[in-house]
Parts: sequence; structure tokens; C-alpha cells
Amino acid sequence: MTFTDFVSQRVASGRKLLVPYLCAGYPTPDHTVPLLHALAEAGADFIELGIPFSDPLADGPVLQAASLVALKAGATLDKALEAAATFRAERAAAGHPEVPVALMGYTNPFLAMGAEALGRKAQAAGIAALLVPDLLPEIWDHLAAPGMPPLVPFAAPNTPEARLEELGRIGGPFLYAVAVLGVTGARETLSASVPAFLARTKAKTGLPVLAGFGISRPEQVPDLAPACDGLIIGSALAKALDGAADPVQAAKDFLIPFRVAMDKKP
Amino acid sequence: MTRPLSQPDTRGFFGAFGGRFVPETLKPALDELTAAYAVAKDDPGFQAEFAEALATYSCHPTPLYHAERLSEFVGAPVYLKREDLNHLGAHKVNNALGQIILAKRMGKKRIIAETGAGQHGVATAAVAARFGLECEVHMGEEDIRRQKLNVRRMELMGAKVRPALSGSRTLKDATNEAIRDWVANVETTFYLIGSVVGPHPYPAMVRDFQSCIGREALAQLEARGLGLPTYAVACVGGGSNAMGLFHPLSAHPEIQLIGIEAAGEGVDTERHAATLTKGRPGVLHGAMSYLLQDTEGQVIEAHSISAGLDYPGIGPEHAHFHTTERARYESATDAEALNAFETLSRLEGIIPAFESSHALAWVLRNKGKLTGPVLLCLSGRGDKDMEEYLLKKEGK
Ligand SMILES: Cc1ncc(COP(=O)(O)O)c(C=O)c1O
Repeated sequence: MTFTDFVSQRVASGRKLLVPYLCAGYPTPDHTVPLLHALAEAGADFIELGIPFSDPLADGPVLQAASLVALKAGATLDKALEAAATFRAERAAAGHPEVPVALMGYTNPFLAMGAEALGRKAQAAGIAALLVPDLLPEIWDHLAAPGMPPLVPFAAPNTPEARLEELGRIGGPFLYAVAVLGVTGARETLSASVPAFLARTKAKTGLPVLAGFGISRPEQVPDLAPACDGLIIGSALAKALDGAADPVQAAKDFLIPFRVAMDKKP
Repeated sequence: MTRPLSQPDTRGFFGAFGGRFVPETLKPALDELTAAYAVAKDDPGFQAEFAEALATYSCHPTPLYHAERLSEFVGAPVYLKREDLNHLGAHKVNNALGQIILAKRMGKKRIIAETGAGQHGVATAAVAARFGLECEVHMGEEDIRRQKLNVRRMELMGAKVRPALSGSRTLKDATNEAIRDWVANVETTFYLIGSVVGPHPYPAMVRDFQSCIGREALAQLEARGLGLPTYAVACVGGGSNAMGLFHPLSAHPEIQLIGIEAAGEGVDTERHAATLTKGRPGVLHGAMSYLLQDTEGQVIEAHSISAGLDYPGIGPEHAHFHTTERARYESATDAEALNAFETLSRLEGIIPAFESSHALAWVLRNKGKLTGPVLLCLSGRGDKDMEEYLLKKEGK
């Protein structure tokens, strides 16, 4: 089954997708595989594995710091791909259903590996999709290569309706709806206009819509989940891992309440 | 006979370089800016207002000065395009004026900028004061510490200086912070970029605003019956003074265009800013260009005695000129720049900026080997560098 079909089936079944974002190599490269397992066990539908970058211009202080910690600890794109492949193989060996891994990262580390090599290695590691926040669909050709997973378009609250329709035509396994005008980072509260933005994005693109940026608490779920197909949670997870004595347990404790909130029927 | 000047294609690329590597949030703002600039560019009213500001707020056309003693010293006529005589002491004000007149037309109320040493920050603070707009300048915490006087100048002119606390806390990080600020306030804010870098349309627009340098120089040479220079030389940080000089001259294939990057302590050390000499193509701050980076694509810190050249990237049109060999890029070390700083001061009574001293260092290095006249962009004056000079020279 393709990742696009995987997402559509979950959406069709009425399940809201829960997608944690984990910065590869954070808090250390050794934690990546155990954390992927923990997030899968805690109810993630799929996982975004973040590739650290020296200049993450769409990220707020929390993910900037996580990126820097991971880089200092020796995180690389190759190690992230290896971690994803190991996670996938271990789940399969244990007879657990697949929890797909998508890579999220800035253009430059991907280009440094080279599109050809990235396509080949991503395919070998079973990477489901690629999210590149600084690569507009008009220039996706920069990462075109055999084996390359599908790219995911983004939309923001200021994206005009005509552009939303265009993004729908460009397509992708889903659309990443950036819920705030601004960088990543947990917000206590999101603007009251977010549900309307999500609904507009769904209507105009016709794609499954997952919302991210700023989501920090399970209490936000009832307002957001009905207006979209799932939620992406990044900075708040990184914060929960920061300084945790047992990051694996901390990841589970963090994610389970979101799963509970999302499975609650309205 | 003359080749057409290079323009970006519809996606904003000069050959393989440039484009818009930005989050979707910035796309509407860049579309709006592109459209507004396309209108302004062909609007005689805009061009007249810009020309008037260049002439009276600064002092364009800046003189073209025949540096006779320097010429005698190196064995070829050297003409200095005196951008150091601009208001605030550098070419940066040309671009700041162009962009702020555009911002005003677009109805923007808030101006943000990035700055390293503070030259572009000071130019932006000045024009924001002149046009009555709110101004915030992002500056690395480390640079704030090193450049206290420029921080005070910006504050005196009413700007807020926002410390960038991320990464190495220098220009690269200040630029990241400015982009983050823009993403968060995109509907009200105009990002006034300080060089021919960033996403399309900035590299082409900043180049156009700086092209008064080359256009005036050509007219001044012609008015004196001097014809075309053999060499046109400029220092290259982001590359705005160099492209402002090169672009109008690039229509004349017989002129050798020479850009000088900062070699810091040497291009074979880890402490330099020689992006085209030592970097590889990559994406930073919204554009594909050459970049100082490691094998993983992580950006490497630049180093130069001159804060204005201390940047790991370079404008995409320079990358294009480099790969198509329309221009030649070489480098000069901190030590060569210091020597040039002293030499021009002694021979001509003109204290050049450390940045411009890199271009002068190329001329000195080629003493006795120059086959024709040199047109050199003296991008700024060196008063700002006296403290650093004394520190280096006398350990004071
Ligand atoms: C005097 C002077 N020259 C040159 C530069 C480098 O910028 P660019 O390469 O954009 O001209 C600076 C930057 O601050 C400067 O102050």
C-alpha cells in the first residue's frame, strides 16, 4: 500500500491521525530508535523524523536548540535513515503493524547528500514521505530522483484561496497546514480563526489536512481535530524530552493523552 | 557586440542559482513584493523619487577619483568610485533608500533588517527615520558586543536593535532571526535585506538599486574621454557593491570583472569567508548559491577581519557569474587587507573600509602587472574600523 493510500484509509475510517515530530539524534543519536518505538506504541499513526540543520529558519527556540544538540552529538542524515530502517525492520520482526516514517528537513542537507543518493537510500529505508519546509512545490524538481518518496505541500493562514486550489492540484499524501503565522514552537492558545483556516484548506485542496505548529496540549485537540484530519506535534514533544531522566518513558507519557483526546468522539 | 545583462528567469534563477527556497508563508509576501517592484521599476515617479533621494539624502553621483599616487605606485591608472562619500559612509544607503521608498508605496508600516557589523543596520535605521517608519534591526549578540557604536547610532535614530541569540550569534544568525520575524509578521512588515542575497526578487532588486555605482562610473569615464576600464574590481561579502558595479559593466565583454572575497587567515585555514573559492552550491537564507558548508550540508561559520565580508554565503548572481566565468573571483587575506588599508591612507589620504581594502589588496598584489586602467569600488570609509585596526596593529 502506498503512503497516500495509507493516509486516505485512516481518514476514511474516521480516525484522526496523530503525528509526532521527533528530531533525529535528540537528545542523543542512540535515543532515536527507542523513541520511534515509544511513539509508535503510544499511538502515533506515523512519525516525522526531523533532520537537524545548522540554520533552521522556520523553527522557534525549542527546535533550534534540539537541532543544535543533535548536531553536536553527531547526528547526520545517514544516521537518521539508518534509524528509520532499523525501526521499520524491528517492528516487522516483532509482527507489529507498520508505523510509517516521513523525513522532515531543510533543503540543504538533502541536497548535500544529493537527490540520487537520497532517493535510493530513502527507498531502501522505507521512508514514506518527505517534508521540506523551505522547498516550494515550484522547485520540487531539485529533489526529483528515482525512489524519492512523495513530497508534501504546505499551506499557511495567509495562503490565498487560488493558491490552495493550486496546492490541491499539485497534490501529495496530505497537506501540512501551518496553523500559525510564525515559526514552530508550542503556543498555549491558538488563534480562534485556526479551525476556519483548516476547514478552508480542506475544502479548497481536497487533500487530507494535518495541522502543525503551535500545538502543545491535549486540551487543544477538541477545537482543532474536528476541522482537519490529524495533528502534528513537535516542539512540545522536544520540550518533554529535554532533561528527562528517561526520554523513552517521557515520550510515551507525553503522547498518550493526545491519543486519548483524539479518539474521543465529539 | 555587447551581451545582454543577465536577468533572473520567471522562477528567480540566474542559471542554476537563486530562486525562492522559503516557507509557503513567505510566498504571498514575495509575490506581492515582486509585483510591486515590477511596477515601481517602470514607474518614472518612483525612479525620480529614488534618484532625488540618492542625490540629496546621500550625494550621488559619487565622485570618480583618479588616485594618482596609487596609480603611480602600482603602474596603472586607478580610478576610485567614491562610495565611501555616501551618507553614513558606505554604499549600503543606496539600497536602503530604494527599498524603503518601495516599502512606503506598499503601505508597510514596519521595517526589519539584519546586520553584521551594523553598516546596513545603520543605513536602514537612518532611512526609516527619514521616512517615519518603525524599524527593528536583528543583530547577533556577539556583533552587538563588538560593534557598540553602531548599536548606539541605530538607537539614536530611533531603531530597536534585537539581539539574535541563536547559533554563533553573528550575521548568519541575525539573518535567520530576521526571516523568522518576517514569517511571524509578514502582513505588516517589510524585510529590507542588505545585500544581493535572499529569495527572489531581492538579489535582482538590490542589484538594481546598487547599479547607480556602475552606471555613474561608466558615464564619468566617458565624460572624461577615458573609455572603458580594463579591470573592474570590488570586494564581495553578500556582493551588493560588486554587483552594483559589475552589472552595468557586464554588457561590455572586454572589461574584466574581478570580485575579491575575504580569505581571513588564509583559504587553507578554517578561518576565512571565501565562499566562491572554497564553498559548494547549497541553499541558505532563501536562495541557491555557493555556501561554506561541511559534507553534511551544515553551514560553516565564516571569518574575516572585516565584519561586512564575514558571511558564509554569496549572492546568486555572483555564483552565476562565477560558473559562467563572466567574472573572476579571488581572495585577499586579513593581512593583505590591513596593508592595503594603510597604503591607501598614506598614498591618498583616504582611509578605506576594511571591506574595500580587500579590493585594494588585489590591485597592490598586481603591482607592475596591470595592463590597463582599473576601476575600483571604494565601497566604504574606514573610520568604523579604526578601533579594530589599532587592536590588530598595536595590541591596543
Ligand atoms: C563598506 C562595505 N563594503 C562592502 C560590504 C559588503 O557587502 P556587499 O558585498 O553586499 O557589498 C559592506 C557590508 O557591510 C560594507 O560595509
